[in-house]
Amino acid sequence: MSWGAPQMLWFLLLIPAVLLLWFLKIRRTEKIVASTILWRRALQDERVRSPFQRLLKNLVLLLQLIAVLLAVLALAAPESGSQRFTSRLNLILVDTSASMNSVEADGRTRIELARERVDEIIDEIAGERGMVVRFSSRVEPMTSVTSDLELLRKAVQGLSAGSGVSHINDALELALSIAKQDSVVPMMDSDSISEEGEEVLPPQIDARIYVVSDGALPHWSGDSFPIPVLLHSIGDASANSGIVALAARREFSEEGDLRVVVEIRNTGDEMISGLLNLRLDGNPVAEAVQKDLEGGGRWTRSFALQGGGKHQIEVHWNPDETDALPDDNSAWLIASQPRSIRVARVGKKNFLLDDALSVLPSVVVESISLAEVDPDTAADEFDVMVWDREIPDQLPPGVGHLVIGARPLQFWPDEIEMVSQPVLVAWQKDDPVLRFSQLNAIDGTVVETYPFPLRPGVSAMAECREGALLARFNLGDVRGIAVAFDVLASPWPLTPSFPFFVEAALRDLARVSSGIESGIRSGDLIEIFAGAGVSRAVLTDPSGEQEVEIPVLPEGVLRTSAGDQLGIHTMRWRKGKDPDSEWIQQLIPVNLLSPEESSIEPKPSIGGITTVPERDQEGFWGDARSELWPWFLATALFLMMLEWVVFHRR
Amino acid sequence: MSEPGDAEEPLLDEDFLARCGRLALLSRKVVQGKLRGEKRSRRRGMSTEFADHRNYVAGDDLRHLDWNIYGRLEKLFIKLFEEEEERSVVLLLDASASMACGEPDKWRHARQVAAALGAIALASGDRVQLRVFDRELRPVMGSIRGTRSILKLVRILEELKVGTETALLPSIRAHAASAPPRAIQILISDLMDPAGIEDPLRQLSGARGESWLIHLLSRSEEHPEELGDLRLRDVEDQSFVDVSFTPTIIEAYHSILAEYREDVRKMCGRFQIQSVEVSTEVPFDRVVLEMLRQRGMLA
Repeated sequence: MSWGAPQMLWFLLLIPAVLLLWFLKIRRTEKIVASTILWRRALQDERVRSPFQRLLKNLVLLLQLIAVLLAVLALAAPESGSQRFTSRLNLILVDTSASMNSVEADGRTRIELARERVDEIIDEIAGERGMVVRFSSRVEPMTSVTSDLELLRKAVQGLSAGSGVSHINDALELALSIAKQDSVVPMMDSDSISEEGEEVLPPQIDARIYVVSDGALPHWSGDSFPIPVLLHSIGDASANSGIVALAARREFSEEGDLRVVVEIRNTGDEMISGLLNLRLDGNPVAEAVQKDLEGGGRWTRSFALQGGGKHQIEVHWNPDETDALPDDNSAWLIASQPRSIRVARVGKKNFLLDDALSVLPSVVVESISLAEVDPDTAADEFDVMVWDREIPDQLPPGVGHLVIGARPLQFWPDEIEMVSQPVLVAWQKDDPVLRFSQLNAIDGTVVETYPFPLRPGVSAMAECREGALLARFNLGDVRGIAVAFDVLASPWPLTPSFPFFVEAALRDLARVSSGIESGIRSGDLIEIFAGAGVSRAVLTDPSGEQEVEIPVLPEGVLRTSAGDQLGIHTMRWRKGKDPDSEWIQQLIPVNLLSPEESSIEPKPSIGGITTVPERDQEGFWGDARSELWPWFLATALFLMMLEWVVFHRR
Repeated sequence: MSEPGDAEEPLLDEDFLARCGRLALLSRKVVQGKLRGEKRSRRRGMSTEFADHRNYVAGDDLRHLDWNIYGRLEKLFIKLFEEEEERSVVLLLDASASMACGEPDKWRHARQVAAALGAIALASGDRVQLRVFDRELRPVMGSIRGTRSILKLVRILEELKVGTETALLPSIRAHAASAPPRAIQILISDLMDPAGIEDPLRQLSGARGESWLIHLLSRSEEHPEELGDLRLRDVEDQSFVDVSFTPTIIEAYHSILAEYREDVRKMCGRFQIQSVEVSTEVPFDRVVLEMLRQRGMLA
């Protein structure tokens, strides 16, 4: 027998109190007698002979003591007994990833089998508490913690598999968090406190986790797992082949030719034959390729597509025999020409900067004076504004800014001390803007600079001891990159890294991609920078049947998660409040492309976690704990009633 | 026979009084009275009932020579006669408050026994004195004699009330100082004196004459039947003791009571006091007509 709340055993100190009260509370009837001489001698004689005899033979006191003892023990929540009538928490994690759509030999999908298995688990945990959590690319609790197991059954009936990958780690972390919140912290005693005064006794968690999955789970990356995990492996099928990778890149040609690469993998043990089809905007662009794949084999195939422009590319793998998982037999991507970047060039004459801007492809530069800048329309007319040694007090919002040799007053209103030939101490080589730039040219060579002090909204890209030489600033709608010196006062513009820096900065500030949308996975985040002025945005699924309104975030950011349907989703948005204004759209391919999900063979355990095989579960758990406190309390109450009867009958 | 609890009834009824006339108190030693009475005395002397012979010595009254023996044996013997003397009986009654406690009533029982013994003594020609005591000795009646005084004795006993606390030693010491010589002194008491009973009994035995003790306890004192937790308060000194009545404590009480009675018996034996343990559970007439007769105290 164990104790759910052993700290309550302190109440055993009530027993001496009861003894004291008993001696104090005895209600004595007075009786007149001829003499107390003989009684005094009898009492003295009895005390000498047996001090405890009186106590033991006093039924009322004994009953009181036993009742108090039982009540205190009930408070301490003793636990023992059978599996029923316990309050253990059972967290049932159901895998609804793409692999659960695999079809078994009997024609049923794994998610159907999983629903049946969860029903059986719910039968097993009768009298306990439970919670159902589904997991794929997202983790979603289907119920709260409840002892109403019918709620669990209803939640399970509505479960279906999606097209995402299994994020078991997130599900386990959620389950662990819930179990810890449900745990009982044991009473702390002096021996369990370390010298630093920290509690060393771990919380007592009375919970277990059921994982109902086909076992295609990634390795557990957390700490040692404190809760027993019972893995219910679903399914037997292993024969599957599918597309696990799809990529495209533009060739270095003026026409912008495309090269598409596809990888097919046979995750089963038997050889599989199939046809690979490539379609461009719905039309086949080449002969279908027949391929035989050995068990566990992989095959990479590339296709060359001529001409630029915007295209939908579809790849379909058609096995000769029906494989278990159809979801990984198709993949999509979008190839489009990157749009031009509209740049406003403001400031003094700088031929080195102008030369760098002129050689950049897809960049349209318009030189304007500071007086010609209209802050209200700048965001609509330009993607990036380049300020060279001239800058207004307030930078226009909604547009990117590349500031050279000037100080944005919104971020650095105070004068900055001049530094000569500063030594470069660090630069962020992983920053997309600096990834292809070498900054050795500005190390100790800048004649005169005013390094930016760091403050909220500012991050350094390249630093000297006195401050940032290159800095990103972002506050509200105003964002940009600032160079703390006149590039003409350094040898930097004379090196190749300068035009790379300018191009990367312009693309970064203009938020223009390379034009290849290789797709995202189901459940991943869709993020589109639609620009200022977006009034409405809608996401349409691949079938075109379902449209979802997407909230517009500041600066026209559209953010949502990809749904469960694989294929090409369409994000459409409109600027301005005119209902007749033109829709702008972006195609978003959603693919499975997961070797883990395509490998559908059930696995017996989760990597990194000690699980309990189904056949050993009973032996592992033994008799589950049941709460004994109601029995203790009932007995205590019965004894109190008995004591009352005995007391008054006397 | 009278019921022990009839508080409103006379202490003695006529039937019992009639039977008293045929009884007499027997003393182990003949006592000397002031007057020539009806009781036998070991003091040989002038009387009509022959007791013994002894050799003649010069100076003896020649009228008491037994001439018949002289005729047969030619020796001179003097005839001795038992002298008929009047005897005193002192009823020493404990009238302390403790005598009024217990079930059945000890006080009525004690007075009934006293009345019966007094009536028997008066009926047989003895002189009777009644002395009561609680904290001190209280002579309530002078010496009386004759059958006609029985009713007076009974009436006085009926009107007696219990007093306060018990002080056996000073009371019996006062009695002993004024006790008539060679009297039968009958102490009727529960002997509930916190100061002890050895010295009082020694004083009683030291008084001139023969001493009897009627040690009276009520049924509730012999066999307590209470249950639960009681506070027992002493009726005399108001002290109390808290007792939880359990079989163990009752067993201990019985043991202590038995020891106490044994002590009383031993002391009485040592001090030559004839003692009788009487319970109020036993009707007084049975005490008198059976128990005392069986002990040879009445005949």
